[in-house]
Amino acid sequence: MRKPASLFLFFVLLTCTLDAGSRQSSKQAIDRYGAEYVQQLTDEVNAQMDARQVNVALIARCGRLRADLPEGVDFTHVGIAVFEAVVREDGKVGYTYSVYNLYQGVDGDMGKSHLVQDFTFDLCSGAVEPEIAVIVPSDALQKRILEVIRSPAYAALHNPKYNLIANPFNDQFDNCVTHTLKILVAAIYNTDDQERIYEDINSYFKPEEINLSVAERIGVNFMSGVSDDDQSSRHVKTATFGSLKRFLDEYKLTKDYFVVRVEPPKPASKK
Amino acid sequence: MKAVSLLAFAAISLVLSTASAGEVKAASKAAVGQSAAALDAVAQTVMMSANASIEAGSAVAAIPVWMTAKVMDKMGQGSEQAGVWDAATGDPAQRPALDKEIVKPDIKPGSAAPKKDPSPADAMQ
Repeated sequence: MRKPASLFLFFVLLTCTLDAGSRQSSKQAIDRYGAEYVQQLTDEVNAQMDARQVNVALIARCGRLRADLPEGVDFTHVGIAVFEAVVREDGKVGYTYSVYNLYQGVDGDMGKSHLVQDFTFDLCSGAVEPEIAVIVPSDALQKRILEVIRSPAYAALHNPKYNLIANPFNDQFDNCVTHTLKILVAAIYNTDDQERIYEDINSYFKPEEINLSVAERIGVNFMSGVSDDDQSSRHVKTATFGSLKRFLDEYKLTKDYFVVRVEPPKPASKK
Repeated sequence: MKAVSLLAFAAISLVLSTASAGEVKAASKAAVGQSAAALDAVAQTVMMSANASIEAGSAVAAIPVWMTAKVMDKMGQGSEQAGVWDAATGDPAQRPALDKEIVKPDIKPGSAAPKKDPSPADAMQ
C-alpha cells in the first residue's frame, strides 16, 4: 500500500540524503541488477523510442522502490532524451539518444544542482524499479524543446539552488522536474523571458499538492536540498513527472506515452 | 521532541550518504570498465568547447556533436549544424538509423546481477 501524501516528509528524510534518484552518481540498478541488465534496459528504451521515430522525449526513472514513495510520486528523476549525432573519443560519429539532466549535488553540497548531459545508459543505471517511462511530446513541441536546449536559455533558466520539493510557481529553487517544466513552457511560448514563463506556469500548470504537518514543515528546514521557504501555504506545491504528463495531456501536447519494462535477472546462487 | 528526532535522523543520513555516494560511484565506474582518464578527457573537451554550462557526465566517453560547436546567440541557432542530420531542422525522411554501439560502455564479463546466498539448508550442509 502506498503512503499517504501527509507522510511525504518521511520519504524526503529517508531519500534525499541517501539518494532521491536525481543524482548523477545514482547507480543503484548496476549494484542491484548488474551492468549487463542495465545495458539490456538501455537497448530496449532506445529501440522503442527509435521504432516510434522519437526525436525528443521526457524520460523518467524511479530511483527508489515504488512502495517507499508517497501517492502521486511514481518517478524520482526526469531528463530530456534527444536523438542526435554524438562523437566518441576516438572520433567516430553516430546517432543515439543523449539525455539532458539537472542533477542534485555539486562538490558534495546537496543544496546545489548542475546541468549534465549523459546517455540512456546513465539514466537506466539509477533505476531501482526496472522500468523507464517516456512522454513523447507533439512533433512541433519536440522541435521547439530541442531549440531551447541548444540555446543559452537552457542554462539561463536553471536555478542552481536545489530543492527536492521546489515550488514550480516561483524561482527560489529548482529540481529536475521544475527545470524541465520551464524548458517545456519556454518551448511552447517560444520565449526565454523568465517572468513570462512563470506567469504561464501559474496560469496553466497544476502541481502535485502535499500535506505536511507543522513538525514536518519544521523538519524539512534542517535538511540540505529540501526546503519549504518557497511555499506560501500549508499545502506544499511541487512538480512531479506525473504532473508534467497531466499538463501536456490537458493541452493536447502529448503524442505518445509508454513505459519500458525489462524484467531483471534473478540473482544467481553463490558458490 | 519529534523535530529533534528527525534532526538526529537527518544527521545520521547525511553521514551515511557522504560515505556511500563515493563508493557507489567508484564501484559503478569500475563495473562499466571506463577509465577516469577517458572521462576526464571528454570533460576537458567540453570545457574547452563553447557550451561549458552543460557538463558531460556520462560513464561513456562521448559527447553530442553540437556541444563542440560555438555558442549560439539565441534560441534555434544551435540546431544549425553542418554535416550532421538534426531533428530540429532535418528532413524526417532522412533520419539516420540508431547506432546501437556508439555509446555502449565496456561491460566486463561477470558484472551480472549480484549473487545471493544459498538457502539456509544449503548453507548448513
